[in-house]
Amino acid sequence: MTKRNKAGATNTKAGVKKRTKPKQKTQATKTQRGTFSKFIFRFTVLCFAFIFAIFSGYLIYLDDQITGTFKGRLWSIPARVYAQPLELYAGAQIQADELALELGRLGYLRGVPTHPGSYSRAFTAEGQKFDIHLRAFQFADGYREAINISLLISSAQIKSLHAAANNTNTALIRLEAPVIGSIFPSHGEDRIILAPADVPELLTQSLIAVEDHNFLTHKGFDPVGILRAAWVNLRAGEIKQGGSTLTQQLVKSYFLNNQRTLSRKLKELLMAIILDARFTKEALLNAYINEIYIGQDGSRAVHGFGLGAQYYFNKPVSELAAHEVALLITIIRGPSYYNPRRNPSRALERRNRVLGQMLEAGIIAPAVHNQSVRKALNKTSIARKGGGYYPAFMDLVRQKLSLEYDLKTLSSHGYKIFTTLDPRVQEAAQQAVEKTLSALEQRRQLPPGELQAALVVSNTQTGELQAVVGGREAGFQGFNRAINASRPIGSLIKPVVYLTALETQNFNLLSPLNDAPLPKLPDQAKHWSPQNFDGRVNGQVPLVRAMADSLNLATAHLGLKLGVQEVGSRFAQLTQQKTKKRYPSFMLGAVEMSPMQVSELYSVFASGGFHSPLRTVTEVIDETGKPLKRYALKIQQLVAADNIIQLNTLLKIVMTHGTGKSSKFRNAGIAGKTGTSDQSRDSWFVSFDDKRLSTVWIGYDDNRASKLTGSSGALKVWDAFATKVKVSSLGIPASFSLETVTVDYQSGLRAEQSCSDQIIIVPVPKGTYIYPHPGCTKTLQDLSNRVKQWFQK
Amino acid sequence: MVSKIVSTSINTTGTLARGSVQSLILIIVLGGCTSSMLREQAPVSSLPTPTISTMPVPEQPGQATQKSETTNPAVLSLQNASASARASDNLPQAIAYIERALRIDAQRMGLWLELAQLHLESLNFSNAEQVARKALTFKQESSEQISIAWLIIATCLEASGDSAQAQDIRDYVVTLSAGV
Repeated sequence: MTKRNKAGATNTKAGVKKRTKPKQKTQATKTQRGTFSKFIFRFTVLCFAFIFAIFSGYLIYLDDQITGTFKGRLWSIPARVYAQPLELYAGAQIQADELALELGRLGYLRGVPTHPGSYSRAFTAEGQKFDIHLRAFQFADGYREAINISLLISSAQIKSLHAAANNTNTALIRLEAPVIGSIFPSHGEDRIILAPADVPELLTQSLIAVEDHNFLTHKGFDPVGILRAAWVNLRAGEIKQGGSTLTQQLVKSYFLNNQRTLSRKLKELLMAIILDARFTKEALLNAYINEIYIGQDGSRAVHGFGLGAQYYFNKPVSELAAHEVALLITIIRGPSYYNPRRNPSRALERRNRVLGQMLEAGIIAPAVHNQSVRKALNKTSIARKGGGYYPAFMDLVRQKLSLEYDLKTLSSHGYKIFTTLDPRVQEAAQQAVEKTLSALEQRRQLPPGELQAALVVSNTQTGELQAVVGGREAGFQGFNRAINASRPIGSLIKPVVYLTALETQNFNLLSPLNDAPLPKLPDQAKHWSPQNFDGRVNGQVPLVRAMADSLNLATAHLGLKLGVQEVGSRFAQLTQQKTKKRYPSFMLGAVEMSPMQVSELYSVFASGGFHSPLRTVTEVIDETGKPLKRYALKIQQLVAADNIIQLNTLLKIVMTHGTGKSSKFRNAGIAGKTGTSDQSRDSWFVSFDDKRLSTVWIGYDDNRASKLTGSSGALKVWDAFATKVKVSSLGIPASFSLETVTVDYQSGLRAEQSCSDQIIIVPVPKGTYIYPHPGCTKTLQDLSNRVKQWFQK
Repeated sequence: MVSKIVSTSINTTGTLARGSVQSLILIIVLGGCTSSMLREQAPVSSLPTPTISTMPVPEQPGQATQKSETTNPAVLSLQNASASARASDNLPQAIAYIERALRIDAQRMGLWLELAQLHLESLNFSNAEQVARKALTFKQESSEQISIAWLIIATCLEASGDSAQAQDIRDYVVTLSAGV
């Protein structure tokens, strides 16, 4: 302003001089020109100074933005969720093929076990010998270094287990826990962070050779590279080569968007120069390796070579072969364009070109190159989607974690979540559902592909969920019927009615019940007249048969005698729900529950009368391995031992003599109960042994009749499942106050094999008098006399 | 195992503190003996009925039990790991090892008892009591296991303020030990 005033004053003086002589005029003109030049010069300097100041400020701003971000946490790391690891120990029941499958699932390669993630399998006279080079792994209870082990499997059992280093017997060792998912925001990024030491040289060298020749020498941008790319593209008539350096690509991916504007390009350039000046080449390359977008898995954006290696090849980046490294480098150029699943030939062609560049740069030997270009895209691994995901189970994990962690924490702090899922059981459950539903539809001429199912499997004693199937397409993230399909449970309610009866101590397994039509009660507005499934009336039947044959009339009589509200109250205790007013139809299953809720109810019976909330998560640790939270087993006794002994005996007899007898495993000593809702809309089956509790539901989403009963539908799914996993007999303990008696199943009267073709052994309170079966009187009398005579001798 | 159980005692405020094995044995044994002298013996029928063995041969109270099956080396190694974690005061880890062992063999009464003991030491009385009750539903591996389970239950009841029932249980344990 001041300068302007001074200039104005000069002009005023010049104006005065206009009226002077010519000589004086020339001098004045010269002075005027000099003053103007000075003004222009000063103005220009000022402009440059101003621009420089603005530019410097902008650079300082960019520098602050870059260094602030890069020095702090670079990425949000989603929580990674793991299934149960496979425990290996002498005596463990496992087939050699199952172990090989499990190793394959973890991405182990069969060959010479010289490096982590490889194994050999040999057939010997003693059995099948596995030498496995286990990978290092951070378990919830500590870090395990990579280790060589050797084990022998014979007759579906591990006979011996050795640590190869010292050839000593090892009691117990685990495979790594398989990854079953990550927790990231919707449409969020997922990645596995790699430290520089985790990245093989093959990858770093190849990346530099293919993407940025002069990476180690340029200052963030590469004019030579830009010119070369321009020349190559001009000659080819298409874009064949990019001119951006790795640093520029990193800036673009990390700080900027995909807009193609000059200002964005300039910003990218400036940021690349700052990054290069501020950080080492190693740090930048490592950041690039972790940052770059490499694929899309549904709503999950796959970033970085760490997760890329898992996603495309189901193995850690350290185990990648040359052709796999080349494919990943191919993909980063255009994850969609070079998607090996959708555009395999395009991806293959460029992969081989990349392999050629790796050869030219001397990174791989000619022999390796020749071998690598002949390799297919390794589609088997590609189809595995980096470890296999189980959406129905993951729903429950998210549900559980959301009670204690917010999504932001879970999706950014790199937590490791250890869960109870058993991948082998889960796979068996999924296959059983898929195959059986198709077979049922075919056999019963039902519309194909419409029948739905859910299957929940848990550990009988610990309540740990081993498998959850939410629908017939188990890998599809959709309506989770295991949690959300609340359907009438039909006869699955009956054990609650019979338990309530046993707990009054007025009934035992042989108490006679009346299986006859119900009379109209005076206080009933409408006559409740249930019928047996087969429409028959059986008259007086023992309690054990009423339960095993799932007789509606006998159960209704019993329930009414006990009181509907009493049974409802017991149901509420067992299911940990609030007590509600119940109607008589409740006692025959007019109550809606999800398969998960049914599992929780039956888990009380399966675990000997103890309630334990079904568990999905066992531990949470942070990214350094520090334990954050343990979810310990919690139990509460809800049913006294004597009553559970009697109830579980009833449930075992359901399988041997009752509605479960069509099972292939009827004589395997398991407990079970079928359930069918009105008009066969819902088909249920629950079973348990010493190890597993399984709940199966089959029906249609629109609630139409499926024409399937519990025995003809859900039981078949369980049979298929049990064929794949092993079943073990349910051991029922003895009690001081109970004794076992042998009776005739139909009548509940004392009998033995010589006089009844349907003998069962049941526990009854000590001293219970049981009348002999009419046809058995003589036999039993003879036996009694013989025993007396023996003692008299 | 007995030493583990009795290494937890109750002080006057009802909180647990570790003490020497000898003094705690004294507490439990004397507690049981004194009460059995002064109090009428609790009717056994009022107590939850212990169940043992597998059907159809129930064993009698106080009867010498079957020899336990050979311990699985994997389970044993986890028990040892649990003991180490416990020795270094890392009770959550000790519990985690026992739960891992239960995934391998959930039918072992001894494992449930160890779990109950660890919950007791973690001052988680409610779960310790329930786990001890669950232990009673499995086949015993040694004659003292039933007594141990009941002593854990008694300790938990006492800690939660139910001294009378705790004493009844201790009396019952004395009758068990005496083979009555």
